[in-house]
Amino acid sequence: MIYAIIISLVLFISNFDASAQTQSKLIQIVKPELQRYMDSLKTQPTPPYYISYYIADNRNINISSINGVLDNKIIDSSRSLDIQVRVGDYKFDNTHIIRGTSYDYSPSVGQIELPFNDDEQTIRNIIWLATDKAYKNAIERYEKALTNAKVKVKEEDTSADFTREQPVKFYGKGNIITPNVDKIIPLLNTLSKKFESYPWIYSSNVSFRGNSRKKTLITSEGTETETYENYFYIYVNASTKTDDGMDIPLYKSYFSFSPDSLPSADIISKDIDQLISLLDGLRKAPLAETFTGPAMLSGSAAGVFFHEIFGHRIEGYREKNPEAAQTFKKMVGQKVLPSFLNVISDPKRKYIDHTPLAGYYEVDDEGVPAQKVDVVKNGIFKSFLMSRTPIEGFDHSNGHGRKSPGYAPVTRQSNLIVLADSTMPVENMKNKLRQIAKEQGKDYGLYFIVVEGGFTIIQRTIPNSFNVMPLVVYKVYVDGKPDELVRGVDLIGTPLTTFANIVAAGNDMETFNGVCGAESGWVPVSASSPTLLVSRIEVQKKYVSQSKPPILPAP
Amino acid sequence: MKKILFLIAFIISSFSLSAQNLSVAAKPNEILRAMHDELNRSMSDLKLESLERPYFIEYTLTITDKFNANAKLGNLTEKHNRKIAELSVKVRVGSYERDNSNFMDLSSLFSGGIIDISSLGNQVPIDMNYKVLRRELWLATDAAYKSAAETYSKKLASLKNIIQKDTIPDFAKAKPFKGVDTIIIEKIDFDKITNEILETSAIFRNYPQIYSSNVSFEFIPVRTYYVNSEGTEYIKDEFFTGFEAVAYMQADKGTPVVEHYNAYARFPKDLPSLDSLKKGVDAIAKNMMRLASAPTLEESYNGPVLVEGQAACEVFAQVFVPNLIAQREQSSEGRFSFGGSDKTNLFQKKIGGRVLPEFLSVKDDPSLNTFQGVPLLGYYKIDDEGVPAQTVNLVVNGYLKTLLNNRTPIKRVLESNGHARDGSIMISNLFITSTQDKAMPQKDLKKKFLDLVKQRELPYGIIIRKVIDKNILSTSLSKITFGNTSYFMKQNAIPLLQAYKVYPDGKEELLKNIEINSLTAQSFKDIINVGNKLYILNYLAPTVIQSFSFGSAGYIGSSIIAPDLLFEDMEINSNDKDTPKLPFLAPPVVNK
Repeated sequence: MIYAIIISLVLFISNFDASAQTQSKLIQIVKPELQRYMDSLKTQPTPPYYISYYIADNRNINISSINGVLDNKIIDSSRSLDIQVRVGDYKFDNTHIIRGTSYDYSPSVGQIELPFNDDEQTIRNIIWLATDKAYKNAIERYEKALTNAKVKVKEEDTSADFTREQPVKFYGKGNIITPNVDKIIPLLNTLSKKFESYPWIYSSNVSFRGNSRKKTLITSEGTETETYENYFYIYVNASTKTDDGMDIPLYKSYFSFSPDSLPSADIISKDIDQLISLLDGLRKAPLAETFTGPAMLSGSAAGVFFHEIFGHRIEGYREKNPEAAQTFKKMVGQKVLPSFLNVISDPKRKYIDHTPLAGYYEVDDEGVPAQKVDVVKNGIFKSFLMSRTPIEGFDHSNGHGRKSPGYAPVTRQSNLIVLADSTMPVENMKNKLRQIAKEQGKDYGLYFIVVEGGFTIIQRTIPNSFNVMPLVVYKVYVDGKPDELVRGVDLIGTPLTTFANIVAAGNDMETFNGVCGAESGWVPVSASSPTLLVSRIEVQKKYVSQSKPPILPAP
Repeated sequence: MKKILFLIAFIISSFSLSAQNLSVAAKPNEILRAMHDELNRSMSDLKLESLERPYFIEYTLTITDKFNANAKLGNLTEKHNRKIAELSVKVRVGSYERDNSNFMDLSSLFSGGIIDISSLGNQVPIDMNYKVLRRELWLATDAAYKSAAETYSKKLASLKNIIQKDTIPDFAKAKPFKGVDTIIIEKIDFDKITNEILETSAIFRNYPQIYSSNVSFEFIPVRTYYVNSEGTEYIKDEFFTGFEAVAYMQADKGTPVVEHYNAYARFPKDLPSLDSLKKGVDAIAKNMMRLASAPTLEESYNGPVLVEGQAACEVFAQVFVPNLIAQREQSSEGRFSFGGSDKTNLFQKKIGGRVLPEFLSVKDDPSLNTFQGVPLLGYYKIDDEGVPAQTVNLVVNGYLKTLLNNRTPIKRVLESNGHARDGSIMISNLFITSTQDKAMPQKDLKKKFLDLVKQRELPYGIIIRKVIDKNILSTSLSKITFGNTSYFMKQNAIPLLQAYKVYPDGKEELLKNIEINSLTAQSFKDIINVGNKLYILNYLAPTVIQSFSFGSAGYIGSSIIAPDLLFEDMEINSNDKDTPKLPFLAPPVVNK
């Protein structure tokens, strides 16, 4: 078996010392107000030990088209400010987890609008009042946390609340990109019109989403960073309904760092043709039955699978919450995957081959330089992804504190990459799938090509499980009958058992670029993996909508 | 009923508005044709096995092209332009006497569905052609019908076990009506408007004591296409323009001080001139400076109160108006009932009774475009259900005659009087008028007021000139104060911005931090005299019928026209809530 994936890394070398640019005027305006607060509040009984201002210059664009006409067009610019004020100390501060409450009613100042232009009086005035409010909230929250710590049992995790990091000064190059709407709209209209002649496709659209922002962070520790985040997507969505009421959605998405490098109309158009014929196949496909047995997951399906089931469990701060399941908490140094598998999280990698990776960045949203993390090496669990929220045994960030404007940063994934030391061609894997199915006395194994995404439960009070929603699944028959498209199943299971059952990896590599939503908002991420073969998975019947297809035929 | 002339023939060529592009790619007749074609097909063919077919279907397509901008201290903080098209489909199953409406389907409430008459508010493509619209209508009608049929059978089931006392029909019949009320307006120069809000917001730079301020502008033109199965159809244009300036600071001991200057009209051209706007903004800033150092009431005041101008309209709007709206009680599974609060449904069973002194009358007149040269915000010709706007005499010589209603009957108001507005029922232009003998020139009214004060041997009386607008308090003001406006939010209290102690010699003294307490709709019977001039207040009226259950807007542009009001007795107190702490640091001083 040849490890045939040539990962041509295009490593972006960020130079943290010799930055080309100097601090912007915005930093010069904000800094004195930050300093004034730090200095003046020193004499207060509960002074702040950390204040940060995170300012985002945002340009969002969202255009969609349905059946050849413009559906929606949103182009928005904003400049927003998020404030963090920490009182107490690194060991115990106002962000300390308050245990045993179902909902934390602590007030927040939310997202604050700043003027587009760098007017000193206006910006400082807004920051002044907002910081005052944020500081008052911090004192209140701190008192609550202190009391809570006194009345509750001793904490399981005795780690501090905030890591100490070296101050960073980084002024990145880049610019805010405004896509050419006049070019995009006709493209979307032409593409979406292709669905018009299929009355059985009840809903469809083709959309363009762009997000371009400059992020400025300034902290009382001396960190000053200016970074750019640009990501652009084209999404194609179409869905139909079967006679038994099942909704069948399919999608195709394209990601790039600039609107000009998205695929051409021809490529997307061909993909739409394929998508339509697949959708047609699916609505006519038989229902799959409940099944336990072997399965193959395509690279992108395995990517989503890893992002949901594995990725969310390696986000460090989740190990702190006593109500979370903490699947991997005591697993450092132990075997969690078969020994031929490695998992890395690498925000500094921008491409695999020529595929862009959405989770790329240079400095995270807490001002910590992005770092490649070996999460699993030869099957052994090595490290969590870390933000500046420490956990036992990990008292530094590895540059995975992320957020979207309006939220407080928490540990998030970046580019999750599953690498195999030994691989086999995908065709051979299919034969192996047949072989395992036969050994287990099954007529077939399942091959998951496209999955929609999924959800995973990490609370303790509910079974610690996952549910991944496949869109395109084939039965691969033991007796060599042609593969058969089926519909109507969800992939379910418990994480640790499923990981242990991975038996082989393909010599391919596929990437799923997406936007991941969690406590700190939406952040772009990617997940890449070779095709994987799992000796035993479980599928259950999908939730079926009880509403019938439309009574009257399409007009 | 007043006869209104309508243009029946559709104007085809001159439909597009020049500045705000409310027209879509499709021509109006193409849109109406798509609506008719799908409506006819649905009325004749839509049927689910044993369930009944619809007896009524209506389609409402609205196209909104909103512009808004925000500025702080002379700098732009927000500017948006957003066009959306929404389609609402209502299907009724059963008959006018009993259908799927006026019934709260609780299960759909919990599953996130829209309740009451199965209505589906859907965003649809902003560019439209016949084919695309037909498709949207087809799918939306299908969903609306299924849900209506289901709700109807649930309602019938729940009625099996009760004997209904009142058998009021669920839906009132209305004559078919065809009309067009579109308006071509001049091109709007949004750059100029943006500059104006920048300029006005910069005024606050002269008042460094003010903690935060904001000036905003919005223009919301809406075109509506409507068709129903009774043969009614209309196209109408509606406009809203708003200018709001708000500011916030704290006086010593932390007492929050807020102010607002606002101007609403249908069209931007009807707003005050830039000069007047600037004067208005400067005036509120100055008033805040005065308020910050003004005394408050040491003890509770009970006695005569003269309520003038904006304040007269506001107290009428906040306390009296909500009672003038018909509110049909909703039944539901398990027979929970949903009606209005005691604060707003005092008059539901009071038709025929006295609600005001005999010298006062109240009428609602949507047909008036302007009054005394001032453009009115509540103007319209056709209501949302396609019923022509009507003038309604609500209170005649103190006696309540009827309530404002849409096509949902209540016991005493069985027909629509053309007040279906924005998914709810609302006043339009409400006039409070008096008989001649009780209306006095301002000077005489003040003298009368002071005489009363003297008669009661009170050391002073109170004049109220400005009341906080509740809508502004909970929106723009709440935003710039980080929620400190909660200080002003109390049940049964109306916070005041400009209220004065008036001594028997006529000397006035501004009061800070005070509010009217326990003013109810019945209190208006205690009005003893009014002024002979009318004040016009264009405002955003909070909807009375809960918007969550009908998908209506939260606020609807309306007008109140009222004279100064002299109350024999009113209770006024200082706000005794705990005050928020002062900021730790003084505002930053920026060296120029």
